[in-house]
Amino acid sequence: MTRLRTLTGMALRELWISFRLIPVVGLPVIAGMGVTSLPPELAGVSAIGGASFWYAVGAGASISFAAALAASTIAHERRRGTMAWMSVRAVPRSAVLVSWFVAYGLLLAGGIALGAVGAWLAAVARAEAPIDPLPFVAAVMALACTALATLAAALCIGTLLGRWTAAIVALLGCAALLAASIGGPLAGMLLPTAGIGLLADLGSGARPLGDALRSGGAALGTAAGLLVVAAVVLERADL
Amino acid sequence: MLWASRSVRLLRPAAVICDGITRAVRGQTLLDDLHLVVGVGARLLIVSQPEESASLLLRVLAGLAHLRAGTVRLAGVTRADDSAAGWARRVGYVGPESGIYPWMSPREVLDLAARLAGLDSDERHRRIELAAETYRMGLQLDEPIRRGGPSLTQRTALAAAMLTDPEVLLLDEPLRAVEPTERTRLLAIPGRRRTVLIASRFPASEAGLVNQVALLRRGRLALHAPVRELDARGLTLSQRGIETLAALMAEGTPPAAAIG
Repeated sequence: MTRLRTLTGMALRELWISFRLIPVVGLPVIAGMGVTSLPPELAGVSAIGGASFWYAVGAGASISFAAALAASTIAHERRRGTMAWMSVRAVPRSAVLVSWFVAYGLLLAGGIALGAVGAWLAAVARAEAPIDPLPFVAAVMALACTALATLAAALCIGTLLGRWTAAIVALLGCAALLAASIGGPLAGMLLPTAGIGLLADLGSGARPLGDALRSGGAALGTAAGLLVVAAVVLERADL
Repeated sequence: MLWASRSVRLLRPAAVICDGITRAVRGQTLLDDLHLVVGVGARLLIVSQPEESASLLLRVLAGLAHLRAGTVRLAGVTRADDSAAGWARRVGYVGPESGIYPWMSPREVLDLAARLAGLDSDERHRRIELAAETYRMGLQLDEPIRRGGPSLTQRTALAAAMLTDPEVLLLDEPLRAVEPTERTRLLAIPGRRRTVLIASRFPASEAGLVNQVALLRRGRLALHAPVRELDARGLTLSQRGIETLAALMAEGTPPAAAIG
């Protein structure tokens, strides 16, 4: 546990010094702030529905970008010898992988939470009647779980491909999946990306709490499975 | 200490055993049923044709590259164990790529290496100060490594590898960016029972640092002899000298010295 804390601290510091921390936290925040400046014709039928939809779109773009960064990071760590440096010091490769997952996950979840505050304030400002915050909070938590699953998928891609290829594949793949979840009627389905669909469709969601729990659980289970796959791939790779 | 001095003297145990190891990279067989036994305390220079074979061998020994067949045993263990007290203190590796974040200072690198090896605070501090003195880091100890250039990066990488006092040290083209006299001083690794394997494309630059030489040809061991065998035949520690010695020994010319 101490070792994982040390490695996660190193990963966070590397993200800070290389300026990658800024977009990972900043883009979801900008997405949330952007909801406040939406013109009335795009604000949707209900205040919470419109704000949630546009925040889901912005957060989806932010998550895709963070996934590209995460895939590129793990591929770069393999190529430049940093992972080898750790490995010859008896640090399990899976520990390095998990430390990057935790670092990216903390930052992205933090950014999503901050952005959600912006989106919520925009919805409250437009609403004519009081809004129940619980469905929105549940949907944002499901979105954060979807973000974690996306990051795990990106790390998996990063263990297989070169730096730029991994970044492009992760960006396009995650963007396509998240866009499909926003556009399609997937919110109620047991899919790891359903959290973003649930948030986008919050205005018409019949059982937002139950759906959020189901999609959040599916996303976390998928994230765990993908991390195991990535760890196995990494263990079999040459460093 | 794993190897007690008396048993080392009497039994001459092996620090490194490669038993039939095989590995191909992009269709080219770089290690082909290689058998190599290196005794405790040896300073072995590994030269190879193709040149990648020696580097690959060290990466296999360090646990960074996988084998298609065969087994390796280092300092008495067959595989890396995850305990900091185990593998990390037995084996050190310095590759051509340092793998160090350029924004870190040498002190931070050494501190991280010591933390990962599970050393306590006092011991960490003591060893870092000692390393700073040995590797002449001085004022650069707290500066980012990128400011010190490749020389500081390579010295820091070696210092980090030596921090845990490993029994087997694997060096792949070490300290190429360091001034030759300083390089020779730093690569005169202390410890009579420490085994050092150096993969080098410039054998002459390792003169005085090694007491054995091995030549890998097409992935197989073509020669493993003491350096004094070269001296006894009037050959130099160079690619040509090593190949000539391998040819002489392949012809059946009796060895002038045994591997010690």
